[in-house]
Amino acid sequence: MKLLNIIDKISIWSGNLFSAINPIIVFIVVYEIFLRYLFNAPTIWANEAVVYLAAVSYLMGGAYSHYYRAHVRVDILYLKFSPRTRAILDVVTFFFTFLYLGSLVWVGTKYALESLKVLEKTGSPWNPPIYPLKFAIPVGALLLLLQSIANFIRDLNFAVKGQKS
Amino acid sequence: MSIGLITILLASVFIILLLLGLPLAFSTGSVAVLFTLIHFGPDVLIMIVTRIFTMMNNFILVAVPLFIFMACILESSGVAEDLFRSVYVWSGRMRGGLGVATIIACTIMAAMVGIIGAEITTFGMIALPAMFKRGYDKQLALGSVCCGGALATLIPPSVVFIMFGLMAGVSVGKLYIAGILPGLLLALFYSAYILIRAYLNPALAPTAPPEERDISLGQKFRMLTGLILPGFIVLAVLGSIYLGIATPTEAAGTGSLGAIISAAVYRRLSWGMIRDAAIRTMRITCMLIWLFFGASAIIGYYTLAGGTDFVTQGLIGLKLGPIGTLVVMQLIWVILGCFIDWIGILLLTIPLFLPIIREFGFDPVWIGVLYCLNMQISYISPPFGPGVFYLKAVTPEGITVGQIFRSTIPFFFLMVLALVLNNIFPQIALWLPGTMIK
Repeated sequence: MKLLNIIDKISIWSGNLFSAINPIIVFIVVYEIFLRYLFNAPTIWANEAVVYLAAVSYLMGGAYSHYYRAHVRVDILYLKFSPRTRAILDVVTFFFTFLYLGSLVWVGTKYALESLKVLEKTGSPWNPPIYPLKFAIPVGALLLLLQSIANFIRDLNFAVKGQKS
Repeated sequence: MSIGLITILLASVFIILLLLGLPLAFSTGSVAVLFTLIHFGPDVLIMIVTRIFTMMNNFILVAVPLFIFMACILESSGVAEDLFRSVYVWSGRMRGGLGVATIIACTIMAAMVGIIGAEITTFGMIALPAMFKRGYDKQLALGSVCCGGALATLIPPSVVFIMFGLMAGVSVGKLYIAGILPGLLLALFYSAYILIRAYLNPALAPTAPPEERDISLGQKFRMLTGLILPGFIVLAVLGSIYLGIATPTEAAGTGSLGAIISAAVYRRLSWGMIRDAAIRTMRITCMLIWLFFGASAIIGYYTLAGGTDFVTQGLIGLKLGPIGTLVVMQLIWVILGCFIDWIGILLLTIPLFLPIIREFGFDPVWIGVLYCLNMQISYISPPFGPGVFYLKAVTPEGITVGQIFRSTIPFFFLMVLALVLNNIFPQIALWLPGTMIK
């Protein structure tokens, strides 16, 4: 299915893109240590920027992990079932995933919009705007939800037809 | 509805979802949303979002991806091969020497790597073939790699300690320093066990063939250069934390740079390698952090409903006294450890146990070390022993999961012994952090 492949591509693409954040964080942390301990001139932005960037990467990478089905399960019973039974169970439990991620998208958007309305800032010496970070929650949850829907449709297809599409 | 009934309902729905195979991160989150909606209405859902927002803004949490990144780089840097070689050339004539060398190499590597996956797979690929080639008993070889590799999360830097510190509001630096002696103690037990077994039955652990023994002393010393880079990284990371000049996050950043430099020295550094490490870091980190989010949501609901007080009062009401309570808490960890992994246990039990820990005046740093020791057991306890599955992924054909599980049984008893000692003598964990400047 074309749509499902597009969703997969979005997850992989966002994972690849935001994984670049990690090496960047290493660079900033080391840079800050050099400035502080060697030149006694700490920046006002480094630590905050590190947290900011890392927070974005946590949110945006959830879908990527889910594409690889890397989110851990308790598989004492699960692994004993046939692949088709597993697909059926995944179809059933999907509604709970939907409830959780849907709520995050919905409530998270409201939360971020309120911040956007007043152009909220962090209030630190560096004082960057904070609403983009708040939008990371609904956007990250939406990406994860899309990947869950793609996985769900595949499971449903497998559960009904008995063969992988 | 009474809190007792809510607790039973919440636990039942949660356990059913888990058994049906819904990922832990979504089971916790969805149960939290469902119960909050029914109990408090949709307006309270904002609580879950604000909790997530608070969590992602934590500076120490950044140490998690950084230490994972460092481990991923080190794994493919070639440091471990050199480290292992420079230790095992000294083992020539000694019965069981190669096994002990494996444990020593694992211990040194554990001081650079904070996740067991990276360590067990690395030594599964390096040390295991070496022991098999020399005709080591399969069980002895498998068990030492699996349990030696699991030391990664007890000996700092450990991702488990970061999460524990965040959850319990304890200094991660102190936890790190507290983990050193218990970790070394466990390594000592493993080494002693291998030596005793090899002494009693030399066939289990043959010595090196003559051509490998004929390495001159000078050559052996020259091979020790393999320890310089790891030694430097260990000193930089742990030294700076011990001296209080760096936060775990800063130490992790420096350590990552050290790992990248090592990879460059071994001529393994390339853009492809960094990209690969970054992307693997992403996959592991996001899995962990989404678990963190879900657990935070369910704990948020349960606290709001008055559940944490209910559990605390219930456990105190059992009148087990401090020792009894300590034992019960750890039994719960061991039992849960058979079914869910360390992060799940941590996120679900620590918020409930914390008030009790305070009530009895236990030092939370000590509890953190006990937690990590209990998790050593969870890595190898069937049916869900992550350590065993990591090793299985890199063992040659013909070695079964059951075989690896069996190979860890003697080590299991050593873990229990170390655990009991640490319970009786809190000083093992607490002496070293007590000497820290701040």
